[in-house]
Amino acid sequence: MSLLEKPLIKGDKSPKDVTEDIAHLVEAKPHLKWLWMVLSAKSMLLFYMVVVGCIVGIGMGLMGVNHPVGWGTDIVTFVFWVGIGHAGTLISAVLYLFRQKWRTSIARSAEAMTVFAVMTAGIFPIIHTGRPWLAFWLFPYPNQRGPLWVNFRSPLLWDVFAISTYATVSIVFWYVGLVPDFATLRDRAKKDGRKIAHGVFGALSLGWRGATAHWRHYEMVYLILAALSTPLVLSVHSIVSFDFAVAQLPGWHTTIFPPYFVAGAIFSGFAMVVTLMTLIRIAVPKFKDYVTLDHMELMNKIIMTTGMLVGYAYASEFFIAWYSGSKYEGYAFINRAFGPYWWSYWTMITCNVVIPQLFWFKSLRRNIPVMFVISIFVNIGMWFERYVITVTSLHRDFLPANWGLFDMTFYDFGALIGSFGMFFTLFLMYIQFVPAISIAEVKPVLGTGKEGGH
Amino acid sequence: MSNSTGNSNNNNENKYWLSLDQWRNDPGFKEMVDKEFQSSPLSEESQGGWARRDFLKLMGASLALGSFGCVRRPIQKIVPYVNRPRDIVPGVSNFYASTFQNGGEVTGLVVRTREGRPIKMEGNEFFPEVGEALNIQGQAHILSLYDPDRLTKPVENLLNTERTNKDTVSTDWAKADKFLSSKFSQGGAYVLSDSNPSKTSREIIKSFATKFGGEYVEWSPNSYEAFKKSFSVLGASGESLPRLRIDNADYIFSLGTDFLETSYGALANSKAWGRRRDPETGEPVKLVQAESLMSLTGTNSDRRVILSSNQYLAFISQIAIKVASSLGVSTNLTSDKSALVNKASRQEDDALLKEASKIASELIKHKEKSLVLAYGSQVKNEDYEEIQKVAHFLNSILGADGSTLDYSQSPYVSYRGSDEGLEKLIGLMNKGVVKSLVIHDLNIVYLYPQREKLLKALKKVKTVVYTGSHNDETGSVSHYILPDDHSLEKWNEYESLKGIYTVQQPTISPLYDTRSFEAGLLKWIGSEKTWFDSLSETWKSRYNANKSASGFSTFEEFWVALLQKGVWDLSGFRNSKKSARPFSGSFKSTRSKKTKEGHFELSLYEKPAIGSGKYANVSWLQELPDPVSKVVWDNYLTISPSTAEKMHLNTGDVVLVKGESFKEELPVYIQPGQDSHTVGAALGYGRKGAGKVADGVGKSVTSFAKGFVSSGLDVSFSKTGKKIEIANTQGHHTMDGRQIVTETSYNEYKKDESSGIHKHKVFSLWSKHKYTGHKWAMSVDLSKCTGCSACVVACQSENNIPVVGKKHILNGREMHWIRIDRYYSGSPESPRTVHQPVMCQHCDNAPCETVCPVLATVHSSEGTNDMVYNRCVGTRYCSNNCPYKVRRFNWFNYSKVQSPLNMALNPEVTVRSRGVMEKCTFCIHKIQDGKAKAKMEKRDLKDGDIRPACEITCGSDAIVFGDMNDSSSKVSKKFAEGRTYQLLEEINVVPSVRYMTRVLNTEEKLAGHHGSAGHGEEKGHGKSGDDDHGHKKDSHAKETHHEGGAH
Repeated sequence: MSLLEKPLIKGDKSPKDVTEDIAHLVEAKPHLKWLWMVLSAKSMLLFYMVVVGCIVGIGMGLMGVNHPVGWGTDIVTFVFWVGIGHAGTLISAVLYLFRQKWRTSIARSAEAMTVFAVMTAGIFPIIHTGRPWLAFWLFPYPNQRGPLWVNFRSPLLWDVFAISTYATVSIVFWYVGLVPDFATLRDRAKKDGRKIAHGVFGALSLGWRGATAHWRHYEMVYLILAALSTPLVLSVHSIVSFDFAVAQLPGWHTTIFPPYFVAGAIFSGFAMVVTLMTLIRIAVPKFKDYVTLDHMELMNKIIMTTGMLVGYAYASEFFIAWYSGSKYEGYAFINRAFGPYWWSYWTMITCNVVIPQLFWFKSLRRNIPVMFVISIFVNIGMWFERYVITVTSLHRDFLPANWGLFDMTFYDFGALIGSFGMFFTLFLMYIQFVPAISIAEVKPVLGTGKEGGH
Repeated sequence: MSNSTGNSNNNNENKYWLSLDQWRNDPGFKEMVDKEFQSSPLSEESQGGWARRDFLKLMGASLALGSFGCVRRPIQKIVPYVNRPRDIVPGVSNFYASTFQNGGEVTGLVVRTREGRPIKMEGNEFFPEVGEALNIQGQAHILSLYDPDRLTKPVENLLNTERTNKDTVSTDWAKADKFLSSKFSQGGAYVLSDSNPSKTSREIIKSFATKFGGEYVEWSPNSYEAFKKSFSVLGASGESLPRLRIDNADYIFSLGTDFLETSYGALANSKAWGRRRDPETGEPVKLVQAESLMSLTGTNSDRRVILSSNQYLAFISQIAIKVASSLGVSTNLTSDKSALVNKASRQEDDALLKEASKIASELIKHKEKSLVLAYGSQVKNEDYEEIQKVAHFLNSILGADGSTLDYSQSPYVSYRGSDEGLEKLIGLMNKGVVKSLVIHDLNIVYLYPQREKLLKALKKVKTVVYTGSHNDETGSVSHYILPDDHSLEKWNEYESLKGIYTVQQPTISPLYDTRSFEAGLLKWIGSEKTWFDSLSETWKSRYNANKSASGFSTFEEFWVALLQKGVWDLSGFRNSKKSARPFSGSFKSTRSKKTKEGHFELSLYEKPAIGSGKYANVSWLQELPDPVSKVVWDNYLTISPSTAEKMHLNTGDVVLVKGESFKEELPVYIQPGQDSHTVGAALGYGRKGAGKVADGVGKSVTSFAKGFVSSGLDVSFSKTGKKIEIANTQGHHTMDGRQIVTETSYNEYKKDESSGIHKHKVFSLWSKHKYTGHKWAMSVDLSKCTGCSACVVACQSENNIPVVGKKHILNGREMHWIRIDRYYSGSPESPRTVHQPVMCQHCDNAPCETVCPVLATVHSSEGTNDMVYNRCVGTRYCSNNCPYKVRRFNWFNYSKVQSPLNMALNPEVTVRSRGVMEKCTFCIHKIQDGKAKAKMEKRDLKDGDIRPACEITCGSDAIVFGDMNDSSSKVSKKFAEGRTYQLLEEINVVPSVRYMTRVLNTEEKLAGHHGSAGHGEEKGHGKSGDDDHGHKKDSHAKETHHEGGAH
């Protein structure tokens, strides 16, 4: 590993510097820049609440969904956010198990991103239903309706389990990782005599004293959680893909969906991490020492790899559609690329397959503005991927008499844009109130790449 | 519990007792027990306050209200009958035989009422020829009763000197009667009404007119007067409209006549058509349709000839000359061959001439078994009279007259309107002879083509009284509007076909302060009789004249039986043949009119749903897709694809249409299969004052007509640059080489009953469902289905299906549970058309069932796919996974309708709330009802006991429902036929609805597309008429051409 030769953390920091750098951000008064960002994100969140309120209060019909396109941007955006949530678990669990030390600087934020993305995603299936106030019926809870139970054959139910499990594990994983850092903050608060902070962090740190036994338990829990959540990386999006793959609709009914969705999710997740890290590096210049260009480059490599995997899936779908000889399937794919929604298909191809190829050039994958723009393109492309799958398959299926078109309405755009408001509000709150880089995990890797290291 | 709580008077009956108090039957104890155990929602607390559970309920309710801010179930009080009316059992339907009458069209009805309110119409099985079938307007008629915009009491319009309405004030009957009596007594009181097949009504009107020195005139937009008169060439006068005997015909040549849908007697024709298009029973009757617009009948033809309106006469003359010369009949008939020129090349159109010879030889081949029809609205051009003569000539020399045409035994006598009479009346109005005019049941101002002329004449009439239900076009120029009872609130009697008398029973007492028109007349003439007395007299005299035929010894018995049956058929044996009447007319030598360069021939037509516009305020009709264009909520100018290309027009482009004396802006609609020199526009739109639904929908085109000529009108049009969206429920018009509707020709069918069907090899890893009891199934015969769409409205009425409006249709949100898919094949200039009703297919392996996360759609043990509305949370996954896309979603709270429209709701079918999926249930409530009835009668279910709404109303008996586990049922037999196939068989969902191949009587080979050779490429598919980009419905067919892969 060439990375081992380079220091992971720049600036030749001592453990004390690390604590100081990271904890200071939480302790200091919010920066004006942050305040503005939060205010604008909050406005978007408020707007989102109004839009969702209208949809729930007046009817699903406010959105563009229709007959035959029964699933619209709600599902598209849901899958988009769930996909975003993938990188978190991958970075914290899979890379942890593979002992990839470079993950330490970005793991916390990636996990936070996961939690917030899953939270954002979770709203969409609910507002997408016709009667959101009854969405809890999707949970198999004991009820007074006789033997009435949920339908375990429905992929949507699997979805409920997959997403709720993933959300729970991600939150626990994130929180467990935070415990030592909360303890650090608690101790510092006590020292400075900040009572409220001391109380809050004291409660959050669950009595962590940094004893060896604590560390041993912590490491074990972390390992177990990592092992538990590794399969989730594969399962969540596989199951989300079942929503489509299990249906018999041409364009949905393909076996390639689970791996293809997972690759796509990792792809978009990493792109979102790059976007956020770039923003953090801008907002908090000090973090440039922790989230270095090397980190960014590594993530860009993953983006390029998964991008090519996704590209392979696109090609493979077409091949199978032709090879299967099913005329409905064949038509669905021709319609995707050359039908009325050709623009969405080619947007997807351009953003997901073509643009990430720029990362073959070292200079480009180490160029912050370039990677920022590319990561945004990737996320646009990934949103369109779900749009293409959902809308273009539904709008023309078996009987031509049913064919119809789908147009986004104000509420479709509103919910999509508003969801970013929710996500960014949560993320900005997180940056301000929670140590955005794991103090405890960064310290052990301070020596990496240094001469005469451990 | 009830036994032990001491509700019995005799304490000895209590075997066990709780305490001595109970043993003594102490009232205090009883109260205590009641309180303790009867905390049901029904219990009433004597001391006020909230019961424990009520408190919980209230808390839960307020929590729900607080959380969601919307009321899901408003509290409504149900008041039980204190004294139950004798005939009403709550929860049980009552059926009344009655009659539907609309401008001369008379059909038997059975009105289903629940708790005293009519909720559904069906045909009357005793009504000859038609039976239980009912057309679109008959079905929708029920909604006009509950029209919220109906006048609820008499009103007076304060007309200014210009005779436009200044203000409308309410009045009362006594005031109106007093005022009008004084006016009528001045003499010159005329009555104008729609075609009125009620003898009693006509007599009362006539006695009114006689008493006040006036006359009675009947007029109807479809009077067929010229057609009736034209029979003089066959030596007949005072003729009624002949009845078609399609059963006797083997070959029909129809010149622009929509005899299956909008012409008189369409329902009876359609029934016969269904019988004669069944290849299992013999060779189907062959229909050749020559027309300029695409009519529904045209889409059902075996061969379609496209020509312009002004070519009709030359074309039919050409045929007649050929036939006459072959049969050795001499005639002075000439054909203006120059009319049959191809306008592009200016040369005689070989195709049309060849077609004429072909039709002539086919007619001769089927001599005495042929039928020539040429009375339709498309033929109402300036040559109408001559065309009729030629048609009569043909029918006479071919022996069709008397054989396939019934002119004497039982013709239609109910169409009575007279154009001449109306013109005379207008003349009298202008002369000032008409002092007061009573307009009954006829929106004359809207319907009469020369509106200005009529309005001018009306201004000269001192008092105009209108009996309509709205302050509409005619109402607003009338002094008084005295609303007549709705026909469901009123007694009447009609004669439909000669000798066939029907009774109209009221099924509800008048909802509003309305008065039957005839009762008003009786009052005005000072008669003591009631309207019902007069009707009784008519029936009595009829009974006395035919006492022996009635089979009843007293009138009372006869009367009861009549009310039960609804129809009295005195026409006797209707199907005996008569000899053809000799043709005695002579032909004028006419030159066909030529349209100017760049001009078009406008043909005005009626859509099956809206018709002349009388029922325009019935939302079901506005939202019923036109059977051919599939457009809703609009009328438009239909143009041919080549005209569109030439003029660079797209569907939705607004053009200014200029007629000789009238112009109007209309959006264009590109109609495949239309003549390129002809444009069409539908009547019945552009209503004013007709109500919230109708007002502002479409444009009125009535005034394009020249007198009573409504076809071949010289118009030109130019682009305005404006564009409107035309709402279309189907945007893609070709099958794209998929096996959706299978077609074959009769010749191919004779060789192989399954010809046209490509069978797929399907297998499943799973075992099949077992149906040990019933297995409900439906067969749809595409040979018989005409696409008329009456089933769509019947279903809508039966199942409380909401109407969503144009905006939502544009968004693809129509709610119909059954839809008629219409596909074109061949070239857009001259396509072949197929109709396919598609409803929930109730698949055995239903894809919707597996994907619903909350089990809201489940499989029943009888093979139906049941939708549990109150369990549905609305994920719409079922709809996505439905290959037929038959599921409909309640995007908004559609079921909330304006009162009293809610009274039309069928209480047997759940009204669906917002956010819930719905779809065809196979009329599950009727299945349950049928089973319960059989059980009560302690017998097994019989085939035909259970019939869904669509099957009952089907005009051509194309839909058959029944039990597949009963091997003798009709549906089992249909399923065993070689023609039966499954739609989308290859995905192995095993639908319970099966279709039957459409068999055309044509020489063309049709079965090749999907035949044994596998999936071939359909000729020229993918380009017929898919140019309509003006709406959101998918219509980008041009780039969808693709190779059908091998299976």
